[in-house]
Amino acid sequence: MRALAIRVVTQIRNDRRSMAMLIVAPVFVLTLIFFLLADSDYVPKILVDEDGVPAPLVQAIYEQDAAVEACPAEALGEPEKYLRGHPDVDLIVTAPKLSQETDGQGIDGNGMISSVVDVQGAGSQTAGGQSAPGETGGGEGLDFYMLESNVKSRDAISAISDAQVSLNPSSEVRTHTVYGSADDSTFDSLGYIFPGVFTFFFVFIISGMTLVRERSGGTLERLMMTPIRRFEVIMGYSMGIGVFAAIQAVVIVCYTIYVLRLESLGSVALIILAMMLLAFTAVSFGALVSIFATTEFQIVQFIPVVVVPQVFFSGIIPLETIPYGLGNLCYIMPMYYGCRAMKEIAVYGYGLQDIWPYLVALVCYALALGVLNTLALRKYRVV
Amino acid sequence: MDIRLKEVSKSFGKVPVLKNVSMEIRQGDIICLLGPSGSGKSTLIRLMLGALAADSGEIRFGDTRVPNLPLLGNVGYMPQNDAVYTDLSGEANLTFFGRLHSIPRALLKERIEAVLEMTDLTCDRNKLVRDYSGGMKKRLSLAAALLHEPEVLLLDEPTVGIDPVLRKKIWEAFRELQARGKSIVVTTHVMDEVAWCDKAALLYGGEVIEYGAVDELLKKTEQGRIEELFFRASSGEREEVSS
Repeated sequence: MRALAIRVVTQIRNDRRSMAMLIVAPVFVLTLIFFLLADSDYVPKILVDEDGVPAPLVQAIYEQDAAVEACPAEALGEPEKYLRGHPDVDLIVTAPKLSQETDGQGIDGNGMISSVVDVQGAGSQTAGGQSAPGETGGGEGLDFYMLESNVKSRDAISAISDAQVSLNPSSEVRTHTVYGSADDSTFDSLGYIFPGVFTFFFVFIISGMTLVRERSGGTLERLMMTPIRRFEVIMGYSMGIGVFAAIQAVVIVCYTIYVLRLESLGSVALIILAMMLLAFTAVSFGALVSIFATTEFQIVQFIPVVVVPQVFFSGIIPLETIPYGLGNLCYIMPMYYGCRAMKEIAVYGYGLQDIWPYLVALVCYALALGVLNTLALRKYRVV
Repeated sequence: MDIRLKEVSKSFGKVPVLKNVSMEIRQGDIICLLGPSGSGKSTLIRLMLGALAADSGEIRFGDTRVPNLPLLGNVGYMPQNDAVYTDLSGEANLTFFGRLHSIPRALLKERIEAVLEMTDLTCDRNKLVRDYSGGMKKRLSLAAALLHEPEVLLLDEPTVGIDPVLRKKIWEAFRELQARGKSIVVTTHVMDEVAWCDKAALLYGGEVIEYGAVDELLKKTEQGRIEELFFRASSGEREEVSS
């Protein structure tokens, strides 16, 4: 068993690409994600209908952190058409013209302008509040036009809300969160998922590839023709690849927390433990899949089937929002347990006494897969 | 350790690969399994190892019935493809297989020297196997099979792709092992190699059509070429079909 583990370690060490896959690749991808999801200093471009929108609000909008310009006449007449021609404009703010008030529905059906947020509903409270002094330039409230609803247009809308709040401080909403803070970047709130996802992904590939290579090269058959026991083969493998899985878990967690500065309230050692258990499960998972694959290429084909769905259940999407109770599928996905444990440690600051069920689930998963793998080796030797 | 096969049959799905094979291999014999590809040579070797279970019949090594796990410690197996690890050096391969057979460290060192010497790989021991030539891989694979000094050697085409000089050297080594009481079963489709063996079993279409001492078999032929026995078998089959 030890001989097998040592051999696997030597083998992977001699293969520079495998080493790079295990250590360099996750660090690279995590860094990339860190920048992709970090807070950007994007300045939204807003056009304001200076004649229609109440003057104090126009003034307040100009004071916001946005590129604000007066709305040209052509944009006022046909805002949808104007937006199509000027994709750099994130938002057009107008006061509703009485004749256009029912237009909202019609525009909805238009494919390109996928969403026109009409503040009559959501924002009328505040808009109505400060238009009371009598300076209305048409109907009540404001109309927002945007090309599509995305991060940029939401930035623009929040600039308008900020402007409204500055005019009417009593309408300010202060957000209080139990965990984290309201102005966390996407990386701050989802960052804990990625170490789990990548640990699983890369270890799965290494494990599956190593074993499938062994199967197709005939070396597995050969080593089964020595008096080694079947469970020793599986244990030896898991230990050998497990060494790298463990190293990878430490590297990824430390990199995320100490270099990318993802805040962790709980113990880093506990996070590493959870990651290692997840990685060991990935070893067994890769080994199991390798039974159904005859070439390395087929291992890759399995990724969309067995790895990608798990990513969606890792916590990227709140499971309660998934329809038909499909969120419960998370319980059969090892990645859920690993990522959930990491979230509760990092974000909630929980300790071992709170998260142990997740760790036990991972251990059970790895053991069950180990038994399956041992049984599958009967294909090579009947005893 | 004598090896006895009694009415062994094996089919894959509905295709019969071996039909009622019975033969006895005495301790210290060098047997060669001759036959065209697809005749069931490798399957027969796998059955003897216990890698496959026979559908019917039995195989015994001495008193032990195959499959048996401890028995594998006494068998050296060399598969047809070069089943060695390309990401390891030649010596690391041997160390690995030696440890699987639980050879004590000091003895293993000695054994590795011996088998490297025999297969002429001493100079290339530290090279990674992925830089080996085809013949070198084959020799390393053979070295791994000999490492633990097994009583029985089951070698699937051990000398394919090895140059004549080295091939002669390897056969001489087999002879030497035989002198020490080891039994060797070799599959081959190179008819010349039959001359090195004591006995030959001719497999054709999953059946043993001839089994006996090589010189006896040669007497049955007209021109002293073992192939003639296969030609006879294949023409006999044709006659059967046409009649």
